[in-house]
Amino acid sequence: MWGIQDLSVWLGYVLCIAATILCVGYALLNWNRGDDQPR
Amino acid sequence: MFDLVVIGLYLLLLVYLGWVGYRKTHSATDYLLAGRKAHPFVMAMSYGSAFISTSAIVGFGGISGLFGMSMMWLVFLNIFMGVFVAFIVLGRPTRNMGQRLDAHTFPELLGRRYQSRFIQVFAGLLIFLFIPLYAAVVIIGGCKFIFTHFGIPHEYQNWVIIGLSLVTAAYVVVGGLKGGMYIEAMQGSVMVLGMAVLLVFSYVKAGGFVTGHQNLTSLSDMVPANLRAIGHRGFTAFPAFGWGDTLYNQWWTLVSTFTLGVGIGVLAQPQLVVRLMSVKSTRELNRAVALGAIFMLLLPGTAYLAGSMSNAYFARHGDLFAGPIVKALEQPGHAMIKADRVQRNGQWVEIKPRELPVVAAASAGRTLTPGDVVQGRSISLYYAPPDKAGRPDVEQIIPIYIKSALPGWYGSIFLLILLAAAMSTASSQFQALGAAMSRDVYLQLVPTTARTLSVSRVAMAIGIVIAILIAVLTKDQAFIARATAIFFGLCGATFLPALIGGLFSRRMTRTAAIWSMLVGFAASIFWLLLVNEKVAGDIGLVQKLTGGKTSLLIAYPNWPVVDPLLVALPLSGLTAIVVSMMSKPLPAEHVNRCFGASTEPEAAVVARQGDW
Repeated sequence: MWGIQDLSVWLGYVLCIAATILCVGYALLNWNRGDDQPR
Repeated sequence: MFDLVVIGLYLLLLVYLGWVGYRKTHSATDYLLAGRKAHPFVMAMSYGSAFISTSAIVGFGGISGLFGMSMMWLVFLNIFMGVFVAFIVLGRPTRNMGQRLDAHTFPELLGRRYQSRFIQVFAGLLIFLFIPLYAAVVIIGGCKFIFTHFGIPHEYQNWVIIGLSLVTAAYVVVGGLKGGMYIEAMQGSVMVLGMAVLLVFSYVKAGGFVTGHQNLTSLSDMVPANLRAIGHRGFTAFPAFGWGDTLYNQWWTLVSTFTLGVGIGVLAQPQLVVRLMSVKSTRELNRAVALGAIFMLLLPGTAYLAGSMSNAYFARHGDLFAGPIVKALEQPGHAMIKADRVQRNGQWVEIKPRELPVVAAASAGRTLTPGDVVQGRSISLYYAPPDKAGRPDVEQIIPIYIKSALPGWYGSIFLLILLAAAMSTASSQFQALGAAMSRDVYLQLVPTTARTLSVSRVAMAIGIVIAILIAVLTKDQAFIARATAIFFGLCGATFLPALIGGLFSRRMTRTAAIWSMLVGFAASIFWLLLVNEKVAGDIGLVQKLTGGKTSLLIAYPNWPVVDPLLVALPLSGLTAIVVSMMSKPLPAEHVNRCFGASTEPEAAVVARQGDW
């Protein structure tokens, strides 16, 4: 996979990209959500 | 000349942003928390650049040059735990509870949550005593590239260390967190852009994306014998997994120390938690997550990929070694030779004979017979300049790779990246130790009318001097990555249960928080002093107690390479749970206030600081 010998190393690489997409997606979906002042 | 212009412009920008921060700093809240109004861009870049230092780029990047791409799991944890969990899961309640309790520092947050001056002072002391070690290795990391780039002779290197530390100290002492965060945002931007360029170059020089990985995979038979003996199976493979044999040492070092130690420990880093408390609202945290994640992918991600891919680069383009073949290796064209000369700038230079693996040049179709003289290129480790003991310095892999593989102008950019990385992290550390010693220790123990700002600046100056001394005394040793992992693990084991319990559990008691911190700290120190072979062996106490052994558990593989966090954190977590069940809870009204459900005035809550 992508020239990488070990599945677990490839998985680590893929998870880096997936986690970044998760974070960017989360930010876009919640861009205007949040508390201004704590209750 | 270009270097000096670039550095000059950078320093001018530093002075300007520090001055802006100074002009906007009027109170302790401004000085310690940037007024609780940090913009999400500033917060995300500041968090990222405070977290990712020269430790990541030069220290862990060098480790990646040795271990390979298995280090990408740490990048995953940096993104998922260090950004997503830190900002969203922990960041929101941290920020909200911090504001309700009017906490200005991480120890103060814990101290006020549990109504315990002891917790605040203990946490403050721990930060003040241990952060100089972390700061020292960060400064060393930046300076090592400067030493290589400018060819600084050994006798002048201490002055570089002192100079870099003092420049950083100047804008932190004067500008506080506001100035620090503006500067870190600028530094973070430089780091992101510069590392994006390095990522592209690294793959191009290695032969392309898939081909580059394949080239790296093909070098698995060139792993040094001493690393193969502890489980190294190649640069795109995970080390051998198991328990009870030194063959699995690399797996346990990689996973427990470098991956989990930093990946989990990040959640309890005082200088990072305070940045979560600096934003105006949780909406800013939501927005900052995107930039924070991209930062982590491009910073440590590029550093570890570049470190790994540097092997593929040097095996294709490095200086040629020459010498007689000792034995052929597994892959066609690969051999172990006894190199006695190397070609530099077109000239053959004699070197002390040493065995090293090479990809033999012009060997297609030829049988490699022991005794035949060949020329060939090797992996990164053998191009790294040696340390004082004569062993290849892993922390020189990234600097020498940049110098060899990338165009000259990039060397200047990389110098800026490292300066930015070192100064951004060091400034966050100096700020944290100043706040810890002043607000969390001195002003808690000594009845005084002195202002936080004044005491903080004095405390910072003392801590900086200690950090400089440590850096000067240890600059010739390669332990940047390990010292970083020590600090992260120590904070994780000591603070994480108290922090998570405090943020999410109404039932967590003061006694449980105190005991979990003490157990986490004691277990970590015990393990570092007496069990973890690398650290205990360097400190020397264990040898005195055991008649020469470098670990109490030296006879029991793989315990001596297990990170303290894996032992101390479960112990401190268990302590928190068990003691909470057995001890008196905090007053309901206070707990309600912490979680945002009280009707009591805030001032009355804050004024009630607890007992020892």
